[in-house]
Amino acid sequence: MICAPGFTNPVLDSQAVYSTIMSAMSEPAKMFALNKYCDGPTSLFPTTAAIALTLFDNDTHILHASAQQDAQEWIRFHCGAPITQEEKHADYAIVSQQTHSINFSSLAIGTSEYPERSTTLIFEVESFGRGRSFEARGPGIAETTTFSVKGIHEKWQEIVTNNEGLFPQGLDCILVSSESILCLPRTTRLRSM
Amino acid sequence: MISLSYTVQQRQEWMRLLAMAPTQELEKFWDNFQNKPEYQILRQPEVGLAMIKAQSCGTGQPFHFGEIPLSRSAVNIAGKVGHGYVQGRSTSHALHMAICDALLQDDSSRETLEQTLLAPIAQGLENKKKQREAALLKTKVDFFTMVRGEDDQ
Repeated sequence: MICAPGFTNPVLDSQAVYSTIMSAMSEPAKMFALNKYCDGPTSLFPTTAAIALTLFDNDTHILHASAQQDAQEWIRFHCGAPITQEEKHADYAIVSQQTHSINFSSLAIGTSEYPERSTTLIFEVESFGRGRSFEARGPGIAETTTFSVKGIHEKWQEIVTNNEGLFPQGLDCILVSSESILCLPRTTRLRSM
Repeated sequence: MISLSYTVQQRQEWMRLLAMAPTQELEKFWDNFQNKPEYQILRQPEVGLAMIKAQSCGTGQPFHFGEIPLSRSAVNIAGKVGHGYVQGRSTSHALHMAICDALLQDDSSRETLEQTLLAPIAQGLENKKKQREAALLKTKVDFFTMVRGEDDQ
């Protein structure tokens, strides 16, 4: 099987994607457009592929519980990142709406000494601006902000709500549609509208 | 299991030759190549570092000798994925090596490449080795011990 190509311009592209992720993390619950930098494998969004190329390397363990082998091959080829099946070892987990085989309660939430040793979840979503609406508050948000999301794994809200009692530990979430991203770090609190 | 029309040893040999060939030779070969097939770059040529491991002697502990710059690239030509890994910072060498590797995996072009590219490279490397040997031979010193006559006593 042949892997799809990676970034055309690895240095500048990964810097641009990294900058977008940083902006999105510092302004939670706000949608940021992510240009199309690469096609990636067919079972991943081009945006997820771009994030993978930017954040994954041989030191990060990736949990990708999907029957689709092409994405795993692609991640191994381009990022050199080991694919793990164990939730507690995962630095990043890619979760689409169809992902069923993942046990969210075993994911790494970090320790009180090293809260950063936690899993960052990358949720693939159908779209933003439609579907259920939420009100978000927390650091990086002036008062409150609203967003809506459609076509996302059913457990996502439970994970974000759970963060409240775990701080400083917890799970950071990156929500990715086929053309934009929205981040919900562990400090963001949600309320259904 | 994919059945290949070449052996692993064959590929190892052509990878060795491609990696050791002078960059200009590969560039010239590709420039003059007739009916260039389209190639898709899977991995843009990039330079990184590779750690060299060494052993102080046959039974010694392995240790990290140091790092060398390494260029690599990967291309896809009509379903054949060619890789280029070469010591040094020549991204062009890595890219051309990847292209040649992909072409060599293809039955229709392998023979041509073996004759027009690999054979001259092998010849060139052989000549270079001989030249170096000849240059070194001039300074060869034979150490021998003269008979001291002690055995007779």
